[in-house]
Amino acid sequence: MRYFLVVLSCAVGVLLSILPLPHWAIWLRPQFMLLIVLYWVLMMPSHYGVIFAWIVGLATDLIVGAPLCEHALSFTIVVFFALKFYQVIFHAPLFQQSFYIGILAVLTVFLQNIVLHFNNDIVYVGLSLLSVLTTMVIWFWLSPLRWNWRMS
Amino acid sequence: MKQLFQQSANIGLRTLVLIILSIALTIINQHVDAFKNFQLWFSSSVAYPFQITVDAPVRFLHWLDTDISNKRNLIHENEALRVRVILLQSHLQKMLSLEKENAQLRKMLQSTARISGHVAIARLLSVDLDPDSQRVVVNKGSAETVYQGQPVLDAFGVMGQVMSVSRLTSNILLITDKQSFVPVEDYRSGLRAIVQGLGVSGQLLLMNVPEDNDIQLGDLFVTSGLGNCFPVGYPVGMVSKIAHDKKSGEEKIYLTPSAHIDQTEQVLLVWPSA
Repeated sequence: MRYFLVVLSCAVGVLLSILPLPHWAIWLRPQFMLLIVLYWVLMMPSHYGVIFAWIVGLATDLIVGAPLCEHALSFTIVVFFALKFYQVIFHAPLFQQSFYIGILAVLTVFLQNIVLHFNNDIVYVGLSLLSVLTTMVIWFWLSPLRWNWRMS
Repeated sequence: MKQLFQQSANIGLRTLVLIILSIALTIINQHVDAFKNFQLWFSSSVAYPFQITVDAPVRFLHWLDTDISNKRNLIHENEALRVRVILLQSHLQKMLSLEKENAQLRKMLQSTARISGHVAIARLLSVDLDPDSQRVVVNKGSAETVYQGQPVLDAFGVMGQVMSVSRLTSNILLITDKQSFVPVEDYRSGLRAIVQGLGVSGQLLLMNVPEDNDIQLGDLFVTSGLGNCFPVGYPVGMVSKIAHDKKSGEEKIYLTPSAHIDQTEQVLLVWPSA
């Protein structure tokens, strides 16, 4: 049951990542895959860690069509920091938690831009950072979804 | 608590390994073409179901939008298309008339080879509505040295004579007019006579015909050139009816004009060579 939910949430995240958006909203797309990975990592850190993040990142790269290991690398490093500061993030009140997620999202953006730059792709750092705001909003909005997974 | 410490012991190592693996994969992807091609193929195969899942609803909505169009939009479109059809049809009619004019001009150019001397093409301006007087106006006048009495032909035969000349236009008396007389001769037998108009379009009367003649139906009468008015040998008309008046014993011979008098728009003005 849990595995099915994890896979389903990852599939939904990928769909949302490739959903066609109107012209003005392209840079405002939240980082859905990052949110899903962080959600599962924060809910069940003993089961889902950096390896899970790496695999999901690789799958995202393949499906979205990004240069290889762009998301894999960024998800791995971000989840490493999330696990390092797990206690702080997990027990923070909602607003602060969104803020921490926002910082992690900024880190993701920087890492992705590094990989893109390495592959000689065009990089718009400023515009990419707009997605951080929407990511924070989505986390804030979806936070009532968390419950005690340890029970299941 | 216990789980957490267990976790944190391995995290750093795992992360480092994965980072190195990622960087290695990135470099290999960039430099090794075979790997890149494999990655591209694999990526598009894996992505295909997701792309279909995202694309299908969007396409369905688009189909819904275009298929279930507003009735008003369809009516507007229908009206616009109707107007366009009418415009195109009117353009087509103009093209048809241009085609006809072109054909007539071509026939004229072919027939002018027979006529020696100067020839000019004129266009009919209007037809006199008086049913008794068969007259037309053409768009050439004294500015083009048109003179009174000048013969007017079309591609198929004699049409008439210039009656009056102004600077830019001329009045033509058609051969079907009552006042028109054309000296003719029978093409077959050489019999000479005079053709007079009857004031009725499509019919001419043969005059000054001797009684013992062998004129038959279908005989062609051409201009004889007597009177130095009309060029020689140009068709005037064909015998269409020979009426015998039983009372007076007279014979009346009617001709149909060869020229397409009612249909022609372009006419030839001839200056006979001296």
